[in-house]
Amino acid sequence: MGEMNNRNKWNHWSLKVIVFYVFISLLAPVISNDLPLLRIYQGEWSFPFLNQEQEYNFSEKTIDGGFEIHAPFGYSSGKSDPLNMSFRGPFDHQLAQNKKGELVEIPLMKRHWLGTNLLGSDLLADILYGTRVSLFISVIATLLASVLALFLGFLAGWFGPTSLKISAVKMLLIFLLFIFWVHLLLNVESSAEGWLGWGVSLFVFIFMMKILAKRKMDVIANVKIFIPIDAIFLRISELFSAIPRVILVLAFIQLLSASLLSIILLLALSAWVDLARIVRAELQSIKSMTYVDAAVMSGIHGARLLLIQILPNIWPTVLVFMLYTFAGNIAIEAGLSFLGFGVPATVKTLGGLISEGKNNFEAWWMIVFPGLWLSVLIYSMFCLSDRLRKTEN
Amino acid sequence: MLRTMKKINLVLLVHLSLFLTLSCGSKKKVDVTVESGNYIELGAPSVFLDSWSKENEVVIHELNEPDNLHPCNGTSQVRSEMFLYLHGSLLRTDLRSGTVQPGICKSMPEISKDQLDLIFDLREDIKWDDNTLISPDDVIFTVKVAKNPGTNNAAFKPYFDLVEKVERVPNSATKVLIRMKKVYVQNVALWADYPIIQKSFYDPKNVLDQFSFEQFNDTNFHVDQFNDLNEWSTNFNSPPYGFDAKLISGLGPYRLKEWQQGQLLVFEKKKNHWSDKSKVYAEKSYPNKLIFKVNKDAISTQLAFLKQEFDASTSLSSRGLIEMKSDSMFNQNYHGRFVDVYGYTFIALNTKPELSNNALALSELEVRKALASLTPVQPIIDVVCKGVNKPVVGPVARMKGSYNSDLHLILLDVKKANEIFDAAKWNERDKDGVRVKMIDGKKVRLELELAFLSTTPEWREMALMIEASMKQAGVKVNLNMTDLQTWLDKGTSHHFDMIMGSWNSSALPEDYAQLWATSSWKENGLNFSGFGNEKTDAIIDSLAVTMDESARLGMEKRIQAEIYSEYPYIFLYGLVRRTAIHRRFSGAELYGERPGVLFNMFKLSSIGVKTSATP
Amino acid sequence: MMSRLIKRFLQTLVSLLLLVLFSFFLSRVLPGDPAKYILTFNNSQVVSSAEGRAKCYEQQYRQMGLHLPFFYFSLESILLPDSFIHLPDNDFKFLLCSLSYYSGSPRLSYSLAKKIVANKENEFLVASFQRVGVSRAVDDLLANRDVTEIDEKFLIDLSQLKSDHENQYWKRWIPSIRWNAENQFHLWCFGGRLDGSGFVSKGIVRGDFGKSWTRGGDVFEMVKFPFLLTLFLSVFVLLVTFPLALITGGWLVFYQRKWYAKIQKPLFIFTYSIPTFWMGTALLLFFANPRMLDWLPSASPVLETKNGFGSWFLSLVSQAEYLIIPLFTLGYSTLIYLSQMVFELLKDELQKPYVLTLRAVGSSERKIIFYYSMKNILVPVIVSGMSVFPLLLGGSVIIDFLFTMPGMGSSMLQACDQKDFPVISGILFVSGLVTMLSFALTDLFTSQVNPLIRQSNFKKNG
Repeated sequence: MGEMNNRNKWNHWSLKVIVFYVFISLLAPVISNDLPLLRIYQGEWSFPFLNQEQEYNFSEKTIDGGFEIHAPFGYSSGKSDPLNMSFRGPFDHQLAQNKKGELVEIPLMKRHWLGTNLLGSDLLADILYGTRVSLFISVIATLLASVLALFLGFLAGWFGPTSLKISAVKMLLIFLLFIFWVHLLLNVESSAEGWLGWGVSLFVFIFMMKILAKRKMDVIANVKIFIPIDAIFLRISELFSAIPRVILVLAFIQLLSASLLSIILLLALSAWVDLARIVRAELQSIKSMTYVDAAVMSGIHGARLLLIQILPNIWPTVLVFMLYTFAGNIAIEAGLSFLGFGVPATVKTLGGLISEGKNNFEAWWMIVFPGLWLSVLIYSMFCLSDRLRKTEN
Repeated sequence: MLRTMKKINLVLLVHLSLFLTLSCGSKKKVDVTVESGNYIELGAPSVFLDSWSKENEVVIHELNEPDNLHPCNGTSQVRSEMFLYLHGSLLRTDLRSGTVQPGICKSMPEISKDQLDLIFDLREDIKWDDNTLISPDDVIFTVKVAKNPGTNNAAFKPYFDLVEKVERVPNSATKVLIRMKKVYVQNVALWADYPIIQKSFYDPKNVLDQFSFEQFNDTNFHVDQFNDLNEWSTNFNSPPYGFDAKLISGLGPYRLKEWQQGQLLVFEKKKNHWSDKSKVYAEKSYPNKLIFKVNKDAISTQLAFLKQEFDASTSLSSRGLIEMKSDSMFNQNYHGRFVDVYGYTFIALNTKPELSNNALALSELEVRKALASLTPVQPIIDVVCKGVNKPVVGPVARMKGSYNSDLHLILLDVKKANEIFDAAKWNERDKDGVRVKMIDGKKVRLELELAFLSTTPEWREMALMIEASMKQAGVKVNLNMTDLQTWLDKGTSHHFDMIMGSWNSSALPEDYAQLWATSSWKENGLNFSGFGNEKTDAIIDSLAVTMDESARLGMEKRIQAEIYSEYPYIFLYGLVRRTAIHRRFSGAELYGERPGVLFNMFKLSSIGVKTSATP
Repeated sequence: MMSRLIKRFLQTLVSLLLLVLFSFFLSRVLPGDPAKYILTFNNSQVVSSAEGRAKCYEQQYRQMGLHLPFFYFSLESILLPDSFIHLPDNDFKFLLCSLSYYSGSPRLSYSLAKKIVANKENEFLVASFQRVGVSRAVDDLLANRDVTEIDEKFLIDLSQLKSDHENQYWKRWIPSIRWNAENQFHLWCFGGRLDGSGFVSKGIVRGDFGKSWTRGGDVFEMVKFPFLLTLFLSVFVLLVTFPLALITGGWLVFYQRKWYAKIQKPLFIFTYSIPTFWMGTALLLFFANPRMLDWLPSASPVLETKNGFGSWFLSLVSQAEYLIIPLFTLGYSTLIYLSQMVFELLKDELQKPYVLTLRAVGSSERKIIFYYSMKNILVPVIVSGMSVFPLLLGGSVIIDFLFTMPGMGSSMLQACDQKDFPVISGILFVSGLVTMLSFALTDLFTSQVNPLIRQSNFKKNG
């Protein structure tokens, strides 16, 4: 029964849609590309779309007698079609040059099915490549956020308010090490010197720890202090949940430069709170269960216990929330690009396409198609997480 | 006799202006439009439509509100434009002729033989709001405030450092003498459009009287040592003096009535103002109210214009204006005009690269030449600018007399560029098709960075077109979108390969020193590209002191030819101002000079005004 | 009850402290030099001479109090004499000591030196630094500067430092924590006045977030009314959607067997999936466009801000038609979220045994859903309603951008465009503050409403 259920719960149209999106974005260069996918020329096989730069040389040679396979849609994202600039709609007249150099109505195979933007770049290609970027950002950000959330949630949930104790002397040592490292970072800029200091201090630190671990030192090492890890977690998570995400990301993107990396980091940093809270709550309820006790009794400790015994049990809940976070990340990333603060301006994303359309609202296709495409993606994620949640219950 | 030269303030165009010439606007019969050399007068409407508002007030669209309306401590462009309505100044820029003309003084100043003393004779019809006449003391006070080390006008201090002292002229109630520290071409122009403020209003306790110009000139003078001055300065610098309608007072025909921050400013016409009797055209003021509304969003601005919620704008987006002009409703209600202004867009090339290895290529004239022929100027104008702008050959605007028409536009020609590259031994290609050459034993790739501003999408679109075009001849362009500060830092510190931007100038004689003198490059000024040699410096120096127009003309054409032959810049196109003005007004004039339109000259068309009996 | 109140209060206080540190961090850890930025922004680069620019820079630098250490504690090497750290407000001395401090080391990295100079002095010095190297630059500076300006103790310390540097190189490895009574954080947080530099602040505890870099005005004054508008819209949306969600949810459960109740869910969730900015754009183009349906205004309302809160509010209410599209755009997702939640919770609630009893007793279905069950699900709905609050505040960014509303979002976007960090950190702080307070209030409120929470709490405390 359980197995049936497990198989059934994934059997849903929304998963298929998401897989379709992922598939399409992974294969975007094959689906839509202005370069041939395969070329057999003078008995040599080559895949021009893989190394776009080398194609540069080829265009000067003749291609008589060669054989080429082209992508189904013959345009790359961001490459302008000089004959169809200035917003050609899907139903407008689109032009092409025939072999004699005359301007004619574009052949059906070469049509811009979803229209073009100002510079004549094909909207269909832009959407495909834009989905790729949006998905990439959101997937990485969600994974990062989940790792962070699991770590913090585990820490807070497992130790609770009082059970994390550390020897006071060790604490002091860690503190001193920390101070020294910050000092190196701030005041000793010469990198060779910094690395030397870093290594030496780490060595001294480990040495001291080893000494502390000796029996004779028990008296000192046993003076312990609590670390209220749960309270710290709650306060930090309150801070992060209190500041609106958009505002948080907008504020900090001004400190970093606009790049894929910084947007991923900021999305991850602002997305971990809800998931971490769920993990903490699950862990609190699971901690007192008998099988955990049994595991502890049998000598399973620390990370192993958490990963092998506990994670599989809270995994379904985590998964549902990861999907929510994922959908949220996609929406926020699109919103930021729409506002013009997301990824670098030369990178196409779905939000960026919509904002291009918003500034030229005669070009309805620039608004409608990316918007619908994005909505369907988010919708299927909600449906999938809904489905997972229900089958879990 | 005096012909002055106004300081040529090169203002960075944060908002890229794009677009067209006047001749394209079809002239309709209802408009009697006069186009004289420097300006266009928009005529009166023949009918007054029912849907038009009959309020005698002008609602003006602004992209930004001023940073403040403090008479000294502010820097924004909008602020100085609004000061035209709020304040009076010793001299004013005459927009019709593009020259400096007397403002609140009877004539241009008398200049002493040593060229250091300027004597202004104040007009006797000019009154403050409390009905007192303007006196030399007010001028003295204004300069003292500007020179006071306690005043937070860091941006203006360097200009006022040029002033040694200001004093009354003995035996005259109207004359005031300004003594400058050294002979400088801008000594007179400094006084144009700088607001004169009332002493009794801003300093009723006469605090500043206790301090002399000698003290303020002394670098060891510290405001902290004088309690009353410190207190006065702190008070004067405080925000209310820049925002509170009650604390802003000036000689202009309008006063600030209310300011809802981030939204709108309302200027109200003063009753029985001295300017009512004035005979100078620019001093006339007709509307009862000027309402400046801030709206940054292109789409809702456009919708608001379709609904006649605005009367005028000088800062529409060009695409928006083109789109609206295709709407008959809009044309029925508005004059939509593109006016050429004295500015241009460019790509500066780093001719003296220090850091980047690849940029070494740019030190070769042939490479710069080839890049210029690879720049798709006309396609950019057609696609990005919708054909509104005109290409330029040099830093001088087309409508100026000093424009060197002997120079030819550099057209997009990939074949020619390839030939130039090959001739300059750039014929080797890397694997990816990028040209390479060995320079001093190092392999240099023709891979260049193009930095541009993030302010408007147009820059990015242009950069993409340039990238695609240059790729055709084996030049790889990496795009780098920056904010204003990084952009300026890159330019002034010479850490760039190619940098795209625009400069704004004015109708007044050009000062080439800021952009083209070698000293400006050495001092990290605005000469980004490192253009210049002894010969050009000599021309620039003599241009700075030559007042005679025919002598200037030859020199200006020569410097343009020099710039043209060296290719420090790739010149793209001249800027235009995008204006829309409601047809219910007559008397509006469009100028190439900033701010482009004087709203106080708008007359509500008499056809529509019903003579209603006022109780 | 009292102890819970105090505990919650203390918790909120700790979170607030974190928020203060966070905002301070944001306002100080900047990519560039703020003084230089302000001058650039205000076109002072047009002042062509390097000397003129240096002068502007110095004035600006002092006006902003940038010469102070950041925080109460600072980490320095013990090599640095005390007198250098507790220098009076004289950044020139600070520069000198930094320069000579590092000049002894041949391994000095050029980038560090440049960093110090860029932070502490003008570009003038950077240039001389690049040209002649560090030690020459120090000597040049000493020669150029009037020696009477530098006090005796400083000179002695300087020579001591130079000899220390040669003899006791190891000392620079030893950190020491120093106490700074006068620092940027203290001024920023609690306010104060710096003699000689003209830097005055009331501190954020008195609502002074500093001055905007680009507009010079007081950040609090700039942000006050925009924030109020956003707060008003968000609270309004919450107040309206909450009862509406209860009604919709209850109604959906009541008619759950009808066909239109069956298709509602995918329909609602699809609407929920539509990004806010897309929905807003579509609404604007449909309902406020003279070429489509010219029903609603497209421009923003003009709000009276000069005469206090009352007239502001009146002007807002009198222009209510301007708020219709924005409110809808802001609220539709909240409404769907809450009503779906009510729907799910109610459905679960109806499975419970007490409902069976009620039905047996003969209570009407309507009463069971809208009274008995509704009462039980109220608390979780309130809690998740409040968790939407920060989303609504954040949503104002999109709303303001689309409809040019004079709200917090447009202030934020403008500040981001201009990198106006005092405004950015001010907005971050205020929005965080309001949300934290609302969280605390919800906690207290729900513990009052729901006896279960109160009881468990009582048990724990007991």
